[in-house]
Amino acid sequence: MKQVTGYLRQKGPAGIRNYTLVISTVHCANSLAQSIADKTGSHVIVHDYGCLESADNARSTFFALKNVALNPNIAAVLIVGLGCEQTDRDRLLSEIRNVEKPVECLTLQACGGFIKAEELGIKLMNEMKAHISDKRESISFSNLVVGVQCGGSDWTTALAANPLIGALTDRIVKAGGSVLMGECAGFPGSEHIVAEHACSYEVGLQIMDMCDSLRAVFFSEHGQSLSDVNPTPGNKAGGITTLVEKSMGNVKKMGAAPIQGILRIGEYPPHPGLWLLDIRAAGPDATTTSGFSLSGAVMGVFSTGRGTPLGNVAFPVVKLTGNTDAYRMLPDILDFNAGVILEGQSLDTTADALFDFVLDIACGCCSRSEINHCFEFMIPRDYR
Amino acid sequence: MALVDIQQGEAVTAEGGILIARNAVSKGHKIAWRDIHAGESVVKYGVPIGKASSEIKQGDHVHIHNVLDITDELCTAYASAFRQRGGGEK
Repeated sequence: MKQVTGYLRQKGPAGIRNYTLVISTVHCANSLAQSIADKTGSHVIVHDYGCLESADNARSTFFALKNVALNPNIAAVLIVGLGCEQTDRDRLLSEIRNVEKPVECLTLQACGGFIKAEELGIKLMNEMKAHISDKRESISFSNLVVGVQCGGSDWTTALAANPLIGALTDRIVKAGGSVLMGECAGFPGSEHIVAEHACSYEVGLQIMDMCDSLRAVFFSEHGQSLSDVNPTPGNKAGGITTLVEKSMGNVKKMGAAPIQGILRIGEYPPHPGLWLLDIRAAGPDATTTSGFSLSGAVMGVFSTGRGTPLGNVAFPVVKLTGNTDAYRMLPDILDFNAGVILEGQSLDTTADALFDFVLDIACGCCSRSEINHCFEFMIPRDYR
Repeated sequence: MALVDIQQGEAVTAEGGILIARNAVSKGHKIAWRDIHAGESVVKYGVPIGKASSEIKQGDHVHIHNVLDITDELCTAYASAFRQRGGGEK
C-alpha cells in the first residue's frame, strides 16, 4: 500500500497540508483579515459573530475559532481583531501557543489603523511562513482522519456514490485510519442498521438514544416530525418518497466497519476506526464539514448527485458523484466519477481506484476544492 | 427503482422478470414489482420505507401519492426492539 506523507507537528497529530490561516475575531475585523489573507496566500475565517453575543453563543464562537486553529493541517495562525470585541483574543493566542503552533495576534486599534495593521499582519504572517518546513515526511496512517458526507443528492447517491464511500470507509479503517460520519439528523428510520454496526451493545444504545432525542427535540421545538420536512421537495422530485428511504441511502457511507462510539464536535477520535460525530444541525453542507474540521479531520470525502463546489478552510474535500451526466457537466468541481458503477464496473474495483485517489490527495495532490479556492467555514451553533 | 425514464405501457425488465409500466416513471423513481394492498408495507433495500396509502398495482408508479411516511412509527419500533433485545444476543 502507498505510504501517506505529511507534516509532523510539535504537538498532536500530523497534518497533510501546510495551510496558513488568518482568523478574524469579530465581524468588525473581517475586511482586514481578508486583505491580509489575500496578500499572504493564506486561508481566512471571517464571520458575523464575536461581539454582543449571549454567553453560550460567545462560547461556541470561541470554541470553533480555537479548534479550527488547532486542526493538524493548519501550520500557522494570525489572529486579527478590532481591539474592543467580546472574543477573548489573549486566551485564543495562549491556547494555540500551548500546542507550540506558530501564532501571532494584532488588533486594528492598537496598530493605529487599517493600513498599519495590514502591513504588520502581512509582515508577521510572512515571517511565520518563512519558518514552516515544506518537507513532506512519511506519517502513520492513524493521522488520516477523513470526514464523509453527502449533499445535493439525487437518485444515484444511494445507488452508487454512498455505497462507494462505504467501501472507501472500510479501506481507510482497515489501513489504520479514521472515518468520521456526521449528519445524524439523517439517521432516523435506519437507526437500527446503524446501531447494529456498533462495536458494542452500549454504543448501539447510545445511537438509539441519540436518534430518539434528536427526533423529540425537533418535535418540541417546531411542532413537526422530522419526516414532515425531510425528504425535501427536491428529494421528492428526484424520486425519494420517505425519510426512511432517504436515511437508508445516507447510512450506506458507513460501510461495514464497526462504529467505535459517538464523538461530540471538537473531540478527536481516541483511537482509529469509524466514529459518529454528533452533528444534528440541519444546516447547509458546510455545517457538517466545519464540524469535521473541529474534530481533527484532515480530509473530507463528499458525494453529490447534483454537484456542489464545497470545500473547507482546513482540509481538501474530494467530491464524487454517481451521476455520470453531472460529472461531464461539472468537470471542474467534481473529482471522481462513481457513475461507472451504474455502468457495470464493480464496487470493489471502483473503491480501490478511489482509495488510491484519496491517498494521492492526502500526499499533496490538489483536490478540485483546493484548485477552486473553496475554503468554506461556518461556526456551528447547534451542538452539544 | 428506474435507472432510465420509463414510458406508460413499456415493458420493464427487473430481477429476471418482466412487468408492464402502468404509468410513466422518471429515472430515480420507483415502480411496483408486485401488487401492494392499502396498509401494507412498501419495501425497498429490504426494509419497509412506508405504507401503501391506497391499492398499488404491479407496474404502478410508487411515490408520495400512494405511500405514507411512517418513519416515526418505525423509529419507535426499532428503538424498543433494540432495548428489549438487551446486550446478550446479536
